[in-house]
Amino acid sequence: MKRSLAIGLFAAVAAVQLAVAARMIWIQESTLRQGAVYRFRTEPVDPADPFRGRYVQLGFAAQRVACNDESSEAAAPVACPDARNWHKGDWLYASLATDAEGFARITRLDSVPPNAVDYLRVRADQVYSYAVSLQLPFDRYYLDEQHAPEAERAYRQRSRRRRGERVEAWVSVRVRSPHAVLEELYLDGKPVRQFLVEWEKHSQ
Amino acid sequence: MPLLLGQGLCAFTLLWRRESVAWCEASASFLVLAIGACMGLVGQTYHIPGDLPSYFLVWSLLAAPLIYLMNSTTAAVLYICGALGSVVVGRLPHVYWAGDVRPWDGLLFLVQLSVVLPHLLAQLRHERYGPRVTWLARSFSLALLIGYLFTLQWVQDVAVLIYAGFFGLMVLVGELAFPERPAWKNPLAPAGRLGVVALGLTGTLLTWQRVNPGDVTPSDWVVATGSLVLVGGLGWRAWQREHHLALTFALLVPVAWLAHLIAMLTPNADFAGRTLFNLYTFALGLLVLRAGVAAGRLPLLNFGLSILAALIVLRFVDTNLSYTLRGLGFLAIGAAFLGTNLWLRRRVQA
Repeated sequence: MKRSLAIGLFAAVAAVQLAVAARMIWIQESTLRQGAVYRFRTEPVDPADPFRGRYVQLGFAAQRVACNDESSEAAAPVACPDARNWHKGDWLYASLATDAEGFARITRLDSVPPNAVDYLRVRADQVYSYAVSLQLPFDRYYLDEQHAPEAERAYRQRSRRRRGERVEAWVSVRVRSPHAVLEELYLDGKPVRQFLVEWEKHSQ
Repeated sequence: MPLLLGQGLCAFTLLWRRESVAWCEASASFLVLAIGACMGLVGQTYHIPGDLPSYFLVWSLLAAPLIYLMNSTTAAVLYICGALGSVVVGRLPHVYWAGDVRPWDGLLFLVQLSVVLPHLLAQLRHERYGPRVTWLARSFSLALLIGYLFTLQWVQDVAVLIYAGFFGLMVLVGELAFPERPAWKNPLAPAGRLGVVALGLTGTLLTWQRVNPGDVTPSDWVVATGSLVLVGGLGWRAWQREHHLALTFALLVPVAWLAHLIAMLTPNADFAGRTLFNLYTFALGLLVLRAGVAAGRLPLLNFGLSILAALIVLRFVDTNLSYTLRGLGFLAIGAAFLGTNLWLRRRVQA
């Protein structure tokens, strides 16, 4: 291969490599800037991912959806009109709304993107006739090596809710359908880094 | 930053150090790793969840052109690792979501792997017995054997057909492409021979059943038949070049197909497949033993004896012989090893 041709081809390849990275960043940044804010209640789960550094593994109450067919007369929190045709691993579209406490809730699951409302692209993890468990497009919050274990400990303590207790751990997520970007993890109503600084001071 | 640095290094190499293998390999592998690091950093910055199969796939696709632009075997091996990761990680149970195998997954994986083949062929022409060829050929065959397991729709008999084809091809390609070097230095043939023996012995334990064609993915049928055709073509070439021992190993492929056809045509004759595999493995052991004696090569002789011994041991396990008879049988195997080794050593020394 001639040198000029090799250089030209390499420039094209390098441009594609940069474009892929730039596109990833652009989608996340535009979602963070223009997306609507939703708060999701969290639940504690086990972390396992050896490849991307330390992070807090997140679980959400919204991941488990109790389905009811629209034709049914029973009062259902979530409409799943096509549930019979869904299988594990299918991509679904979860319409979002806010409950009385200001937290996000899924109002409807569809096989195609809805038109009017904010929605998440989610993956069906388990599908039953009466319920679907979902993989949301955000399940971890990355922190540096030093802070991640402390944050996880604090997060686990505050995610164990008893009946009547106030929610103490949640995340804010920016949604610009179909993209969703996790913005911040809150513990006791404070951003996690601020919470950890105060926690360290308190424990000393 | 690492991505830009890697691209800068590669551009420098292409402009001023293109003839240096060390510069090409080093800068290309740095850039391949930098692409992975860059994607990981973006994922971490924006808390993107860990979809590792997609991560490996995008990483390997972005790295693929560097194999040819930089003429880099390290980039090719890293690409193979990425391709393998994209099929393996997603299907490891209980770690990530393990979706059902899609109809063309196996063939797509082969296409993904075959991206490095032109580079391997170019290296073969350039330096057939060099370390780059050895490294790449071993990585390729290992990735093929491991990765395809994760794209199989697990139908036992078809899995045997496919892996018999893979091992048969490894033996034939290894013997035809690397005829001159010592057998143990051949990057493909020894592993292929071991695979043939392992699969031959496994076939003697299987219950061959009628396969419902609907249970098998089109990809698996294409790969099984394709490897049979390739083994046929390469087998003819091996026959012309008198690689008779390699042909004996490659015979596993038609034997497996015959067992499969018998099971398809006579549903209640599941013993026929086992009998065929017993006969084949026994004949293989004898022929390897004979080749070892004829060539005066102790390792080959012992390999043949080991095949026979393994077959006899397996039959001891699944038959109701008394402990005394089994004990005598084991003693006989040990005596056979000792006797033939002593006999051949004396013959070679004389």
